[in-house]
Amino acid sequence: MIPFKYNVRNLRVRWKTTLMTVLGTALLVASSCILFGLVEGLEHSLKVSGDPLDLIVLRQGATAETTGGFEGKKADELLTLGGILRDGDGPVGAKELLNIAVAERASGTYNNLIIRGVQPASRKLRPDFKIVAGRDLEPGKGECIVPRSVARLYKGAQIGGQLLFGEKEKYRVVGMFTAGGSQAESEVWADLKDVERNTGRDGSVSCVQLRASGPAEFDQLRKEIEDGAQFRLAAHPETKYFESQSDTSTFFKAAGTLIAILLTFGAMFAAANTMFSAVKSRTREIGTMRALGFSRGDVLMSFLGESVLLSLLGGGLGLLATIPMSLISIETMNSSTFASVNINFRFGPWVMAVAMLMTLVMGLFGGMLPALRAVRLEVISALREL
Amino acid sequence: MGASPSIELRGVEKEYRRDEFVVPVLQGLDLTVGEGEYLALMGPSGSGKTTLLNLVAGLDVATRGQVIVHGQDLGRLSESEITRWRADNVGFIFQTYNLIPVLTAAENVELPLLLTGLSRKRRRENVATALRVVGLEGREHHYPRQLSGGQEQRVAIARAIVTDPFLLVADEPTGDLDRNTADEILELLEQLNKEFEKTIVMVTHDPLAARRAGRVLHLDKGRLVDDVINEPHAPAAS
Repeated sequence: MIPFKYNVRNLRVRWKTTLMTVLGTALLVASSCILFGLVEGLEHSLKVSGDPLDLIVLRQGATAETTGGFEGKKADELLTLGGILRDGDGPVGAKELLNIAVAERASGTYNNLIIRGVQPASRKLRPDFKIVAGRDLEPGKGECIVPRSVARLYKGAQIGGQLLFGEKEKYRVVGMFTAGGSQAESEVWADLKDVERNTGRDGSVSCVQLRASGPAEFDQLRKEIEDGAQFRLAAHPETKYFESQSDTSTFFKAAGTLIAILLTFGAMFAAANTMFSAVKSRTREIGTMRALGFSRGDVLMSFLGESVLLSLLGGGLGLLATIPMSLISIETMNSSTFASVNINFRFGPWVMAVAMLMTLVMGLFGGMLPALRAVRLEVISALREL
Repeated sequence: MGASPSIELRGVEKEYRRDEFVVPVLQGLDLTVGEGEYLALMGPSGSGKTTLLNLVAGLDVATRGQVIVHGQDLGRLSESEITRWRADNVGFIFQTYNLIPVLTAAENVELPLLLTGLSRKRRRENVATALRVVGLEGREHHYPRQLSGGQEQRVAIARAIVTDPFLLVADEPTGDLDRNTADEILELLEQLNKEFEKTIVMVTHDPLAARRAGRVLHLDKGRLVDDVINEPHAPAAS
């Protein structure tokens, strides 16, 4: 086998070409990673790491919490059903009222924000919920808590500030929370009663979130809520509900995959170009090694190895370049609610695997044709090459 | 010189195709070279001397006839077999040295040993021995660009002998060197032939180089036109 240091040193000697190819590959891998990291972040934001026994109850026919209002009386009655998990504070279930309001950003522009009126049990239904600064809101006092992204982006959203939505609706910010990167981290949370009062929607809720006490009760609760004459509501298992909300991410994922494939092809051509020139400039070396007794297979492996190494350098650099992106969150719009959603880039194993796959494909396929050209060289002609 | 035949050519013909034309390069060549013989091939350009060298070294295949080297009919070997055969039996010395520029002298010399399955330690020992034989101790870690032309050719010779092949083929080994350096290289080849009993086939245009060989073959238009046995210990002209 031709020693690998031969390839490593050749890459070093041709450092300018190597650097150009590595940077090109790195950019392509980084672009794909960012795209997939965004998709993964979006998907993650739509998943609440809640209990599989959680149900979201909406008006029948409603596709989202923001369009699913029904009477508060029905909601109260619903929370008395037997199959709901109970703890020392009562049923683990909460009425919630969502309002989409226009808020002013610190930059002076405006955007839709979701204000979620919550009850104490709302926190239990989101196990990753945590107050990270300030304190939790006290019911009935016109207070709210905000996620970090909202505090950063919106005027008056810092602790001690006041969030204003139009003329009537205002909340004093008393704390900052996290919710495991879920969609809740794009919302302002206030007390249910305060939101009802501020929006003039007394006696109405957007949804009820609850947890069943067991799998059998889960099914029973769904049946009662959906078929019971007094309810006739839609009870969505939480996981399925959020799956249905992830159409946007499916689109991004499909587009991302297509773009990644195109970028991979681009990088393959770059790698092929570099390797073709490597083979051309080292024709006599190839002839010499073949004369010395190295087989065509040895030559093939050597040049493929060099191509893969080149791509791996680029891929590795591309991945490193994406690390700072994981600290960034971007604000986009939920296509169902038209409200602002904050997405953090997430570079999980899937994104890493895609990047590695892209890199290997680039190296192997980009290097294949040049390596085959090297393999096909006749020893005598190669030795004559200047 | 040597009694048992090391190289035998029987009715060897070699043709190349250039588009629709067939170009004969070697025609009806019969030749026997003894074990340990030092053969110089001379002749004008296009006379077929390098083609003959390539046939003997297993780099090319005769169109007709037999090339038997060390008892092996090279025409019967598959490509992978002949590649292996070259690694085991032939050491190559080229006019332009053909060293790998990104490898040090020692690493260049070690290359053929990578095909042998020897341990790293044994390879290092063999490399050191080969470099000592060619007088390049202390230059192991030099890259080709850090060596003179003569030193580069010495490294190439060390690479050619490191696996202890029975046959050395040299294509214009002194073609790129000045007279003094060329003489040193020829001296070294003579030493390898006499002390280590290597069979050497050398293509050269240089009559002074040819005078070092034990036997000189003259080719013209693909045919053997003269076969001269040099006087032993012929003086090296300067």
